[in-house]
Amino acid sequence: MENLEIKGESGVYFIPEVKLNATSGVCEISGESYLEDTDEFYNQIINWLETHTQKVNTPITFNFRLTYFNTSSSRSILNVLRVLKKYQDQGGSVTVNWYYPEDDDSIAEEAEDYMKDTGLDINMFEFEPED
Amino acid sequence: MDIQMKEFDFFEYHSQISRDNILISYKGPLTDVLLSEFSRDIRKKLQEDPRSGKKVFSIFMELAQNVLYYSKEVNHFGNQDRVGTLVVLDEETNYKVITGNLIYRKDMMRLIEKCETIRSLDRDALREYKRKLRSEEENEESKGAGIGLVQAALTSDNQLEAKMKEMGTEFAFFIVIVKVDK
Repeated sequence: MENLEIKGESGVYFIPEVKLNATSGVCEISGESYLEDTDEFYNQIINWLETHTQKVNTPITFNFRLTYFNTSSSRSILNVLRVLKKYQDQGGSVTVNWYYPEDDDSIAEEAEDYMKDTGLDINMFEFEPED
Repeated sequence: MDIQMKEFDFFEYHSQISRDNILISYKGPLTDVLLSEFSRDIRKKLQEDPRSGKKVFSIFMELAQNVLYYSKEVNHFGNQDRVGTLVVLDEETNYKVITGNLIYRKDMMRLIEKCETIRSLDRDALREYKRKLRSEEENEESKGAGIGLVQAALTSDNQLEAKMKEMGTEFAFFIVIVKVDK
């Protein structure tokens, strides 16, 4: 099982930085998410998670550290969380940490809404984004 | 409104566009490249006011994406880009994001209902409504546009304003105004 790494980039679109580590099970998505093809982008993460949870079956920690995402991305993030919830329901160990920029109530609220939507426990932490 | 066109007054036009409270004013074909340039411009101009600036930025992104994907006016030169109008104002106590584009007249009622629903809900109910729209499958255009409007209303923490005007038999002009307090 290989790691999945996508370099973050801010050009015409805002591509978030993605690091999914197969050995440690620590996954992180950070930066800003506004994409040309949102489904295609997040399906890479979803496919990796599905393969990982079927083949490796070790604990997963998923850190979200996004400072901006559009509504289209928010739909895809929900799908990522649903895969994690499914893994947890099958007995997998899942920890979700949601880092929201300080003074950004809306990104904090998103985590609360995702908890309601998925039934997952999400740990919330405030952080100070670098420019 | 007068049917007869008033004579074009350049001085009036010039003084209007020279008012320093217009952060963005654009009418024409929209592309993803233009949209990202505008969004960067908004960020730069509002960097002294990060809290409201971020709200203006994200509302602009949602509303401008609606125009980019759903405007029914198309520029037939080049890449069939969709045409719309985008305005961001810096007023005394608030910012305003305004977008305008053509829609089909047959979609008017549905959009009016959607905007009325958004206007009638308080913040908690609006969050519920957004969750409902988000968990539904996205394949219909009205839903895609709908969640963007709900998010814009949530981010702004103000009433969303919408206006429509019929334009001939097939089209209508749809304007959304979203206010962000300073």
